[in-house]
Amino acid sequence: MKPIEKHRMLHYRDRAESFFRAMQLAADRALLGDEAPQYADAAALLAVHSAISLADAVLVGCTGRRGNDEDHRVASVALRALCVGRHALADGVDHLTWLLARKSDLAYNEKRLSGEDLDRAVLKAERFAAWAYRTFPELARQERIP
Amino acid sequence: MTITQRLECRARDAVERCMIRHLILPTIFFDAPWPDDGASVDMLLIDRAGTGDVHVVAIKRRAEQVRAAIPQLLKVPAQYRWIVFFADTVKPKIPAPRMNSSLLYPAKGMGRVGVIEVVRMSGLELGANIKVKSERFPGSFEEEVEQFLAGHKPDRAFR
Repeated sequence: MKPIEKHRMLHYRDRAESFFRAMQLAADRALLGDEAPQYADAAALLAVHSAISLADAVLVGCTGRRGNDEDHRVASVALRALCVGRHALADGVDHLTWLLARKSDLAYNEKRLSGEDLDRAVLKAERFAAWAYRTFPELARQERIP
Repeated sequence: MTITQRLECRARDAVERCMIRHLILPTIFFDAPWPDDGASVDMLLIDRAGTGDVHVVAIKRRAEQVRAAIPQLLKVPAQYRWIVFFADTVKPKIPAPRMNSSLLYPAKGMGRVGVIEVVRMSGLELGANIKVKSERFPGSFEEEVEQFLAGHKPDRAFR
């Protein structure tokens, strides 16, 4: 885990939300129509990266440390430990773990991603984000000073 | 239900889709008794899974109803306020509110009412587009939101 100043939480949260919004656009079949399959791989990877950045935001904001670039699974462990300390349910971490387990496949696998796989990745990213905001509401209650 | 009421109700679905793209996982209530049981707003959206900013939405069929609706909207506690009307009711004598329209701003202090236009698309579907982005009004409503969420079931929530 790398030490980071806690006020940098906003940077990671904003980055997570940027990935999240881009994921939503790239996964929007109504918007993209026939071209949607061309964006599926990007959307799925954005789902993974939105979750990684949001996990970093939580960890930076609460502990002043963030996950390891080489092994993002460290973040899952740290989040579970944080939940124990706060007497909070850690069930949302399962969604992050699911996404992290597929990160390499989504980035390097030669197989074309199916619509079902993409829907599942998007759903996991949404569920992880919803859990993170509800469990750590301080994430939502800070804004960057323009 | 009159045709006007039916259209205003149908517009909620289009506005919901528009706001889901604009916000992050909003928790959404229709006909919400916000801020208390004596009041009602067409739509209440609480950003970031119910932990973030409060957005309230008033939906009107006709552009000429906007002028009367905004003063009411400005009384509703929220960080962001939105007025919605149907684009097909805009006429030269009743123009759509523009970004510099004083109508959208409070008499004093920060904030701007956002403007959303509802359009008819192919297949009689309705779509909604943000024409003027709402700007933040002052205030913090964490306690009010917590109390509201404890007593009301959202129409849409991401879990």
